[in-house]
Amino acid sequence: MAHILLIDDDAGLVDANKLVLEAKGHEVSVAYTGDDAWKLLEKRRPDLLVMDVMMEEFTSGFELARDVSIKFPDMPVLMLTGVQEHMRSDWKFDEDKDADWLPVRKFLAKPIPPTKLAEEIEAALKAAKEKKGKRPS
Amino acid sequence: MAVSEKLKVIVCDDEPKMCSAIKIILDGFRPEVRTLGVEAELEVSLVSTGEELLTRMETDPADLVLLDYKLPGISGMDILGRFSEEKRETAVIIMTAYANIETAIQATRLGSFDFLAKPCTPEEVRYTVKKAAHHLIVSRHARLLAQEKKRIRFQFISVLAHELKAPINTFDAYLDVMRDMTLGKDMTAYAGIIAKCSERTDGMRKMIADLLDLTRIESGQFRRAPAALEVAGALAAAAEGVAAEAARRGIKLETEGAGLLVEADPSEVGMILNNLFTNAVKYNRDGGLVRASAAADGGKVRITVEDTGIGMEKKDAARLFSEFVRIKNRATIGIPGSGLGLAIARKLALQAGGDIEVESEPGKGSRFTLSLPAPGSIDLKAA
Ligand SMILES: Nc1ncnc2c1ncn2[C@@H]1O[C@H](COP(=O)(O)OP(=O)(O)O)[C@@H](O)[C@H]1O
Repeated sequence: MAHILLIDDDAGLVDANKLVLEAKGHEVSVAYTGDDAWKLLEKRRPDLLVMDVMMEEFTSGFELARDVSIKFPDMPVLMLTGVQEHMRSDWKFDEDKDADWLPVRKFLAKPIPPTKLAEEIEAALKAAKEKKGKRPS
Repeated sequence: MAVSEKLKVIVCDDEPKMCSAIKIILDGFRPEVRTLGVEAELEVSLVSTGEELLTRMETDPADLVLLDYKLPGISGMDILGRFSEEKRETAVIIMTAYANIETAIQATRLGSFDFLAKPCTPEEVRYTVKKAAHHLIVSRHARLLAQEKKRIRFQFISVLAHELKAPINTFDAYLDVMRDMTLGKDMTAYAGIIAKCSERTDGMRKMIADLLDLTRIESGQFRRAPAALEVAGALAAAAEGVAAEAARRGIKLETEGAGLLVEADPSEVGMILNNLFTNAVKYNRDGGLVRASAAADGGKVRITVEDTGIGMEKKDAARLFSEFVRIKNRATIGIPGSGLGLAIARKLALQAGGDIEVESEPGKGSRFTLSLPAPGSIDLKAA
């Protein structure tokens, strides 16, 4: 069980994702804006963050991800993007090449079924745990 | 004052005297396109051979070419042929001393815009250039307008596509939850999900209705029947429409406006006020207030609908009346809407000879002011 923060301005999507994640025993916090997310982050650090790129303005999602990666370098961030769907572009996130300049663990194309997102979250949590275990403390 | 627009002109003649004569004739000549409020500013340069002209056209194409028919190398007709092959928009005026009907026909066939018979008077030169300038500027404007229309249409459709996709993505997500039986096998557990889905279908239906209204208004298909309309009655009817929702949320409705009349189509005023009242309730706080009143102001009547709701920032107020604009922040999350209501309301108000404005303060409330012409203040035949 982990504490997950969902950041998205679409209340319906957030709600569906929350139902599935809670059914899997996770604790879920929700923020609809970047500001709200930041307030929650400062209060209590979640184990993983899921966010949409296209919040309010196109760049705000990236800005938030960058700030998070500076302040919480170990926190896994999954970023959802409707870019492919919007622009009909084939751009794909390449974990080897893009992980350097994009401050996120993984890019996931929208729409993504909540059960599929839950799987991605499990995988990211597992990877984060392994990484932590390996590092000498 | 007319706006000036540049037109590049090249004079191509192997006689230096002819070239400089035309340059002098066109010097300071600014043909005007009165209907567009544009004055053409001619930028004249000179070349003496067809070859030189073609090189020039590659690097710095002209809008208008005054072309000698009989050039030493490549001929005027060949150049015309090249231009039409390359589908150039350049207007060409053929100048020739051998003015005969055949050359004229041939040149026209090859796409020359006009014809000047040498020797020609300065008036003839100016007259012909003026005609060409007029043609060039008008078609330039038509082209820009067509581009702008395409751009607006493209933008509208992309936003529309996005708006239609959002609820579908929500349905898909909830269907996934049901397929997964995330909440167990008992259907009653899914009541909340089902309610949320119906909310979204209602929203989509409303958006489609709004879209149809919008297109109907824009295509002028609304049959408008302006009449003297009692403001107090119209406000009371609009308040009636939101009374149930207002009561549910403990919001008080107050309307005034006795004795005032506007000259407008009653069903259009109904649509506008409906939207303003719906918003005043939707974006209000529980237990808040909606106050509508009216006052005569010269030839107009100003109707205000005020609320004690969430209000908005100045930067948001400026864009509110455009299609699909919805302010997204903590206060508006979860409030359904299409973002089309105010766009429709403003279009209707403008068509009726009025307008809508907004003043607002975040967290305090908003005041929308609809101004409409008072009876007798507009010429009904012209409206
Ligand atoms: N009375 C109001 N108070 C605060 N915000 C408002 C008010 N009326 C409209 N708005 C804002 O303007 C936006 C556009 O309004 P409208 O075109 O009627 O669309 P809709 O309400 O369907 O979203 C709304 O989404 C809301 O953010």
